[in-house]
Amino acid sequence: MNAAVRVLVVDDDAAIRQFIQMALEGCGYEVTTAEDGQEALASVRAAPPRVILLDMRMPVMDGWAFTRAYRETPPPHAPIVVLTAARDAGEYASDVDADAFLAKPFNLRELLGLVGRLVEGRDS
Amino acid sequence: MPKASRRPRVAAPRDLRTAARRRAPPLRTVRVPEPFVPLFQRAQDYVARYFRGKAFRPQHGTISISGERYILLRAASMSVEFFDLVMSLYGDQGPDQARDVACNLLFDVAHAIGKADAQAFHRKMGVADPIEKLSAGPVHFSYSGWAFVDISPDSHPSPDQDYFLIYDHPYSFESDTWLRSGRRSTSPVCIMNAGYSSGWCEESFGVPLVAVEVECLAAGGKHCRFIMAPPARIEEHLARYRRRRPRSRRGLRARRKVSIPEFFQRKRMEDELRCSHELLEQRVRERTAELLGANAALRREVAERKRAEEARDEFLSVAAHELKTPLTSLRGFAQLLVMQMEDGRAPDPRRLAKALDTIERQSEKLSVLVSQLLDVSRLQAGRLVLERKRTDVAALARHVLEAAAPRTRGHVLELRAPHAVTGHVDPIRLEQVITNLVDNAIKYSPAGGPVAVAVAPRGSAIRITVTDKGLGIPPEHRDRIFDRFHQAHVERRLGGMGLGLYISREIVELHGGTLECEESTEAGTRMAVAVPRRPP
Repeated sequence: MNAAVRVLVVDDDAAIRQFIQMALEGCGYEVTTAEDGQEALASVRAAPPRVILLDMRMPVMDGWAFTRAYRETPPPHAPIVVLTAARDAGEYASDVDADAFLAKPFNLRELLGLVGRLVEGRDS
Repeated sequence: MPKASRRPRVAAPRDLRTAARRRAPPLRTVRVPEPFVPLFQRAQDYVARYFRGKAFRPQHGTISISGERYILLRAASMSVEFFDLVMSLYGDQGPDQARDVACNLLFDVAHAIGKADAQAFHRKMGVADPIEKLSAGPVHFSYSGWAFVDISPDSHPSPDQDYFLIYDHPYSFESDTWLRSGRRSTSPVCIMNAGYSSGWCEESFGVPLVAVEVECLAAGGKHCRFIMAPPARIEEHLARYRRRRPRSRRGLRARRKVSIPEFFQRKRMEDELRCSHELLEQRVRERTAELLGANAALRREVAERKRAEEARDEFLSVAAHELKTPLTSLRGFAQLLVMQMEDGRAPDPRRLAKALDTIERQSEKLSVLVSQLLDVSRLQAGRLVLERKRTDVAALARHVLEAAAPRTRGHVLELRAPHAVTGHVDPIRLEQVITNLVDNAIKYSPAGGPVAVAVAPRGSAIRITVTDKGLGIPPEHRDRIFDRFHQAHVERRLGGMGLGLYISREIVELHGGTLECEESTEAGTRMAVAVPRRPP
């Protein structure tokens, strides 16, 4: 049933994108990745995701700018999970009205559980 | 000269002692120390000419001298008779009180006349030097019948608080009126003389002055002798004069009475008040300036501390971010592998290799970041010590490029160096510098391209350059790339804490060398190191 569920991973760190992608694909999700907000915007237009995992501090277009631009695109809008190494992870998440946040370095199981719940919540 | 008044004095700029060798003075209307004789002669000539033009015109009721109106007063009326009159008027308040009233009046009137006469003569003679201004005073004094002036060489007439004049008045009109009427006073009587002279001198020297008669013929003294000084110093001079006089002298029987009368006190108090007021204002000004300075320094310090705190906070937040990023993937890959094993799945060998490779790279990155933090802390504490040894810097550079090769695919790494370039350097630290420069060259040429390291001897130094064809450093950042934490704020994309170049420059400078950005355009950047081959 997860075959059609797409998750967008936005992070400027290649290693982080890589292990998240491997973990999600292992659970049967389809994964697209983006290095920054601008790539992510192009990606949501081309292939709308069901969940967005979003790093905040990125070059070119950061998490804040991306969320603003994303919310201006036509609905539906996927839930956003903020992933950040910053001290004020919770503050960043409320800045962009995110659905959830995890502080880096996070627990991978926690991330997978969170993505699962968000996908199911949307399904029901 | 009154020999008794000669006292040993410390040689002063205007020591008047040469008067001892004085020849017969051509000066007849005044006696002054030798160095001043020519000056007073001129004044004498001037005043003599002035008095030649006197005209008594009783038919008009006028007396004039060179066009200036004068009046004649009977001397006794202004001295012995004046005292008697005041005594009879104020006698009910006691003789001392009455005497003080008379003294006050006479001194103040004479002081005012002395000042006014001095002003008039200075104008007429057109003189500016204080002594020259003084010069007409005694001569005019003689011509107008007040007294003869005999200035002691112990005097020190300087226009400041050190002003000191000791002089006699033979033929003082005041003591004379007492002696002629067969009267003796218990205290000195030459009040107007003292007032007039101090008024003239005060006007000439521009400092407040008072004169006290310390010995008076009318009070049993051998002379009418005066001391003139600034009000604040007069008591000190009087005390010294008394100490040097034998107590048995008759003239000093009235010593008690020579104590400074009230009008001197008043002048001294005014003088002291003025001085202390000026001093106070000066102190207030100084203190205000100090406070303003201290305030500004404090504000600067507060602002600097605030900036330093903000920079530290920013640094800590950036450092934490940079450390947590490799940690995130380390933990992520580890958990991923554990999960796969728990699921009983055999990990895909290619994925496993990839995961382990990433773990390796990320731990290396983490290790570099931690070393940088330690280096910065050592540098700031001045505890980074070089361990120099004979090193082939060309080989060092080759080693750096070999180690960097696996970290990039898109770059062509190239070494241009002779077979060996040796110098006494810290090989580990210099390798760190070259590695940092090569890593930057790779990092800042994301599209790939050549990265060339050149090592060559140049004079007594070794020159190392690292050249790339990358992004270049934007001009607005060029001055600041060696600042601590600088890059971290602007180049997050490429990671790092902005400590690399700061540490590198510090290491090179510890070697006594230089590290500069020689060239940076959109077509690339060349960083250049020069280190002395031997310790400076």
